[in-house]
Amino acid sequence: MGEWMTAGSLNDLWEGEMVAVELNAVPVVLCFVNGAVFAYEDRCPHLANPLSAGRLDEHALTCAAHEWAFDVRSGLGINPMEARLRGFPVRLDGETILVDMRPAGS
Amino acid sequence: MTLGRDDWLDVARKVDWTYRYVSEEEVFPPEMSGRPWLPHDAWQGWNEAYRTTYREYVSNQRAKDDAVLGVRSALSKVHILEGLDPGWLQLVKFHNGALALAEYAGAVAELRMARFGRDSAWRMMATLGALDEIRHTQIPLLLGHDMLRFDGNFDWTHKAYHTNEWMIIAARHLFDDMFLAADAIDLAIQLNLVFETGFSNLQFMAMAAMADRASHHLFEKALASIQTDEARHSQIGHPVLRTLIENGGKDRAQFLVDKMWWRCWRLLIALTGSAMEYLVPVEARTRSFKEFMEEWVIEQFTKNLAEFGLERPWFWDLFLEELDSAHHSFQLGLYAYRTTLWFDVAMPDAEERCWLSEKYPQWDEIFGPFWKRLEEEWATNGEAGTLAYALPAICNLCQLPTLFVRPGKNTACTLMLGGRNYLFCSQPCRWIFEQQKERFTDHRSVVDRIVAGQAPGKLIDLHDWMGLEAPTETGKDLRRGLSPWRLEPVPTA
Repeated sequence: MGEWMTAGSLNDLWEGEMVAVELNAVPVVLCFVNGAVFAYEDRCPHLANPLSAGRLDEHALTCAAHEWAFDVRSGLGINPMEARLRGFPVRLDGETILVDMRPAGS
Repeated sequence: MTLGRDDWLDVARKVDWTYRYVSEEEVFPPEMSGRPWLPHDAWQGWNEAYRTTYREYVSNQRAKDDAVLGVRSALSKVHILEGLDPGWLQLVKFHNGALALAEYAGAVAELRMARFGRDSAWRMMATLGALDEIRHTQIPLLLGHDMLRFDGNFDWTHKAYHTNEWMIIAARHLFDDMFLAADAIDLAIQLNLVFETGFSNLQFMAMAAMADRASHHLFEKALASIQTDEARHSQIGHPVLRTLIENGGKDRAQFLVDKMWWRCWRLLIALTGSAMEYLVPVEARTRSFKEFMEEWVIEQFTKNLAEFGLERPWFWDLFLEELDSAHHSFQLGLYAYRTTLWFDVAMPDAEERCWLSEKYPQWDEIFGPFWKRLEEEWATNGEAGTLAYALPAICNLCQLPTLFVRPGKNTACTLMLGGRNYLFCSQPCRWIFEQQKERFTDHRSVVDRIVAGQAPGKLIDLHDWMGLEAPTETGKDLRRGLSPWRLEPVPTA
């Protein structure tokens, strides 16, 4: 069973935008791209700067601090390619965005 | 069809000549390229994780400069500076003086790697790194020059490294050791890996977040823009360290990491810790210096160590202990010797003391009495009673006063060498000095020079020797002793 938590509403997160929320004391960035919502820990794997302070161009999320870039559809690094984001499962209940905050493997 | 970047970039970044008329060792002598000297076979796997073409570099940098200049055009007005917190402006003056020309020295270091780095991809990254560092010099020089209209002491943005001001001597000593007087391997690990990856994120991004809250958006933009360049050239250190470890250099790598971690920590206490908690207005503080250190520096650094199979430095317990107190002790020294600085220094007011006690539960017990005594001196003897006149004890490695940790715990120690007794603030500084005696024994601290008659002992003459024109340039109490809380009657025992 997942630990599904309400993270926000599609009324507040429009296509092509991202928003920072905190769930279970974990900073999370929600991105709405290509008709789907993706959730990642809001810490760049490079030096922990918040990704939500960066910019989202189509599917590319670029960290404001050092310009590491990620594909939000997969969480994989665009540059550097070896990097990846820590993602959380997302589902929608009507307009409500639900995020599974259960730690992986538990 | 246009080729994508990764389809052709290797053709550009991996161009290593086969030498026919000279040996490889003559082209890359170990004195400049570093030891252990390894044939290129050992280096050809050198790869940077974050990739950039020259075309992308020029395009991105131009856009970044346009963004900074756009903010400058809108916000570089004297009346905007007049609205900023006075303590914050002193922090900017401190930061500019201590870093602008250090960045220029960083360009020289990057150029050394651009010539003597052992793989072409390393040399290409270092070439871009040199351009980065020139930019990191020019931006604060430009903005510092703009600020001259507001405060003439902003000329220390350019002037500081041309003087014998004592804190600048300490910074110069460190940066010379870290990269100007280092070969390509040592400087890649010391500058790129330890300093830039480990520490500069704190100095620049944490300060940028505080600049935002302090409404100094031009400084925020400049710091953040500078920091965006770091990912590209700071990554040079990782593949150098990996190659060193894979080729029997693990002990050397551990030494360089330990040494530079400690030396950078000392600089950060002075440059970041005291400024962050005694010059930033309370409402602009996003976290404490200790909290920043724990989240942004220690966590990342220990991850890096684990990745390479290196140990935590042997002095780790002392370092953790110092997190609670070293910058608070240092601030007392800055305050007492403020006339030897190019910026003003603050005595914490009542609100700041509450904040400090909340973040550091022992602060009031340990440091409160010292500030209370200084308050009483202001009330009874005026400013003269709040200044120190005796020569401080200066560490023969870090060149900073030996007053770290806290009252009641003195970590100062000595070393007798070649008929001379050297003084150190701590065991790690003495250990570094002993490991590389040939680099450090001939350097004289400011106090050594005064005692030897090479620098004046009289304070007024010493100001002149340090390049400080008294009284206009010399540091003062930020509030000139006129803060309302200080005018209240001081309770007597």
